[in-house]
Amino acid sequence: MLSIRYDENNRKHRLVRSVIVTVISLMTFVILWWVVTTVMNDRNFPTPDKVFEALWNLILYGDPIGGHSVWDYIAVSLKTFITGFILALVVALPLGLLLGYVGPLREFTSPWIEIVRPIAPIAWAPIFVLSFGSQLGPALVVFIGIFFPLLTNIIFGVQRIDQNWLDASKTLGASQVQLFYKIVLPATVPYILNGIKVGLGVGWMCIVAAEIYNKFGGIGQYLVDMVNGGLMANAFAAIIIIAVLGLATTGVAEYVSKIVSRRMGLDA
Amino acid sequence: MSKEEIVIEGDKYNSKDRVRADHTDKLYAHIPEGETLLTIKDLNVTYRTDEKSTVAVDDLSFEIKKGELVSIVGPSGCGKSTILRCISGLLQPTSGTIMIGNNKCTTPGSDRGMVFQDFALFPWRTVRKNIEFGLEIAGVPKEERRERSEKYLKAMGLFEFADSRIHELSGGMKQRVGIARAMIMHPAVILMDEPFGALDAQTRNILQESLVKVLKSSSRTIVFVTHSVDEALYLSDRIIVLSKRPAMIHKIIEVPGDRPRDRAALEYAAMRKEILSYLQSQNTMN
Amino acid sequence: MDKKILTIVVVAVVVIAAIAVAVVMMNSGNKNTDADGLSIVGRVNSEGSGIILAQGEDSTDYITVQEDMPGFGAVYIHNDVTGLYYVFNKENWGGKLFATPGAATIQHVQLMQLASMMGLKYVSYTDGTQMKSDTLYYIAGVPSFAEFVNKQSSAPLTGFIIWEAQVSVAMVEEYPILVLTNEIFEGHTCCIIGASNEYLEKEGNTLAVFFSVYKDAVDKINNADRFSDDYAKLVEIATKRVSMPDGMTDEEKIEAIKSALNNVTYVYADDNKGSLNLLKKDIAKLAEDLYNSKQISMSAKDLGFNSYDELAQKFVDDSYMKKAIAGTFTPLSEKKTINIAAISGDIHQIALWFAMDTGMFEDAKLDVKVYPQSNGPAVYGLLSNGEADLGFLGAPPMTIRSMNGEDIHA
Repeated sequence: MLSIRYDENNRKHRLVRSVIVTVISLMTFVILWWVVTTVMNDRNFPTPDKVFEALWNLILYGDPIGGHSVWDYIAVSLKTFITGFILALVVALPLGLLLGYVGPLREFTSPWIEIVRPIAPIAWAPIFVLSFGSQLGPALVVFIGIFFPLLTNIIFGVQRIDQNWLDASKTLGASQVQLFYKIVLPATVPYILNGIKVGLGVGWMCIVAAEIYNKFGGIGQYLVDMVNGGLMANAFAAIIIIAVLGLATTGVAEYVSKIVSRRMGLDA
Repeated sequence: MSKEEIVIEGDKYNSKDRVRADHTDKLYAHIPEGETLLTIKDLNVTYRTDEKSTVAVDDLSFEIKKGELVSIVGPSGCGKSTILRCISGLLQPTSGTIMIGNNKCTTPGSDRGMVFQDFALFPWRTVRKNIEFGLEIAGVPKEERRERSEKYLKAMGLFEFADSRIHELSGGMKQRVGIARAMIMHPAVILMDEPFGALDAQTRNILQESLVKVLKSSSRTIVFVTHSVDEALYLSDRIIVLSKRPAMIHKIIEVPGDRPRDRAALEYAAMRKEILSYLQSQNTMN
Repeated sequence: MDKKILTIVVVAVVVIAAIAVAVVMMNSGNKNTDADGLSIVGRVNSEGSGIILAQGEDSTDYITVQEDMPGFGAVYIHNDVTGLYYVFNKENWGGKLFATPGAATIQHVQLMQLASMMGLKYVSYTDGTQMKSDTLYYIAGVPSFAEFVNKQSSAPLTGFIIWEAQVSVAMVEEYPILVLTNEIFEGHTCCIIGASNEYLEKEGNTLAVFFSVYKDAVDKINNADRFSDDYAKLVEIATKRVSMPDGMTDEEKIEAIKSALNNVTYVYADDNKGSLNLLKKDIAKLAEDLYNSKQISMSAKDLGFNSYDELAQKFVDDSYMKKAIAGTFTPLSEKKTINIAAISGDIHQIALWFAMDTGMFEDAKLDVKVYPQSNGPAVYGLLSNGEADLGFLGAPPMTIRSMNGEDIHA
């Protein structure tokens, strides 16, 4: 059938191949989903056709019960997510660099971090929403989810800096401050980027938790409302939307990461 | 002149503060070529663990004269690199003094530049920016930095790679960058810790020849640690031969002949034999 | 070549494993078969909710009460029992925000009905919503007075439609009460008792025994005058079991409880013969309204019925209640356990607790285990997966979930 031989070095070939593989993979997934849900015959797990119909209706006509378009909900969730993300970045970056660099400080704060870190963001959700109100509360739930992976990645990165670089800089006359700005900071960038990627995923997991307690709209709250109302096809449509949002933000992060890496020559 | 030039009263300056300036060789302009520049006295490095203490360097003393290239050779693990790191200030000796001129060396500084065996180049900077690093630290203005790095890029044969990333270079090229980075600072002393150890034999020879060429055009004071006796004979004015650990000076050999030297010349063959047999005896004496 | 074969093998294994899991799960969960499904078998209460306003609001801005018939074009509700007219000032309702205890609750549905009556759209409030004057906005999922007070700092809440005892708590805390649902929706259905059909088939007699005790409890509550022991006991049980905010003194709590008890009408059926015909009509109308408002996705026809009345006819089964009242059941010879899911802290369902705490069930050899849940949908959850035999929950969540989940079908 195909008289074309696949050439690994041909960019067009590579692109076509990855598209074909992705399409076949997704098709298999949907078929599998269909088979499984049909066999299960369980109302809580609707077949793909129902879910896609619900998704389609949601995108075109919005939510008739709440009276909003899906974009309203996405906007609310996105705003919460981005606020939490920026907060996490602003706090974790300097803190991570500081703790990574200053050994005694890291030792001292280590118990605090180890105790707070394992607490799931969903446990913080009611407390944050109660104490910080509806603007800041949900954003803080997302913040807590992103903050810890980001922090630990940065601290780890600082500690992993090649001692040779520091030695070389010292023999070139660098002061402590110069060491920090010219060596520690750039050398930690790949770990920062990785921490961001991990944190982004966790952040979306926190959105549903944040919105359950906040009740001021958002795609996560829509998801819970649909489950409570027994409209499972809509609930799964919401899950797909959240998944797509997660993919989109991760995609953006990957892209930014690639650009930064290339500019800094770290993509060896 | 760089922004951070240190004003010298006589030849005193406070080396407790890390020295941050380029052209630190100028600080010792008053010392003529051939006179002692670097003094190592009673250097002792002892490692203490819970169970026992190991003496790595045992009351070593020697002098390095201005403008000479001195190699340190010795059996594996004898402590050559340890001595170098003490001179650079990256390692604190247990006792003993290291002085440049009349000034004690305790912390790292730009007056003792270093070239590393595994290059220690900064991957997020281009070749040019690596070479200019020390100048940036010293506060040298941009145009002057550019001017000077251009000279070194040309001299080390790196001109086409000026804006390349480190990972695009071969081992030999990387070490050229390493050498340029150290030399552009004109430190009082350059320390080289087995700089060609990670390179293959051919590249090694080529880089030795490059180094010799650089030394022809400007006088430098270099302390050179190496495993290779051939390399030491090719490059050095003197060779300090150390015993096995704890390192003590076995012999200091004067190496005659102007550089570039003929590697195969007979006079070197005798020296080579003597040093090698000594080293071999040290290695088997366990 | 090896790697490709490996990939195919792994994918095949995953596919087979997934199908195996599906087959296993086939024998659990909600099935589309006949022997399962749910029914409504009794009432719990009617009325017993109200609308409170934020402090500083004036109730006459929203509703004015008068004895004479309002003029042409006025929006009003007429209370047939008292003869009073409740006139709604539509202009003041538009663009305002009210809290409700949840999208599936009767209170939420009632507020929706009021909005519809006033010709206002009924839209959920999200962060950043611009409030338009042709719309009544809601925040759903505020379950208590304390939560309402808390949410006031984050949103411009005008009022709150909620069940007792929260209405009375608000009154004790000096918040204006706009209106009680007894006034504008007299006799409205509130909580009902749901049962799994499987349980009915197996333990129909036990249910009748349960209902006979339950009926007695409700009668006791309704017959207890202010000075009787039963009343004192009722107040004591209610104060213990109904959730009220911290910071209220014991006297304040008792005051709220007594006021709440006064506003709730405890029942078990339409009449004292056990008929549920009126309930059937209510359910039919509720189902149709909620289908039109899109909260229910399956119409009566989708579920195999010719009309909503036909659906209600099958859904609501009064035979067990009638048996209990007529006495045509066999008393239990040995102890039987009955698992009940109920809403925690809810004064509407206090008859159940009254019967429990005074030992009435024990006397009939019933071992009643109550599993308190936080809301109606949670109660439905236990009913539908078989963990509870009976569920005490609002008519709306029962109807919405049963229809969406096809637990009622022809």
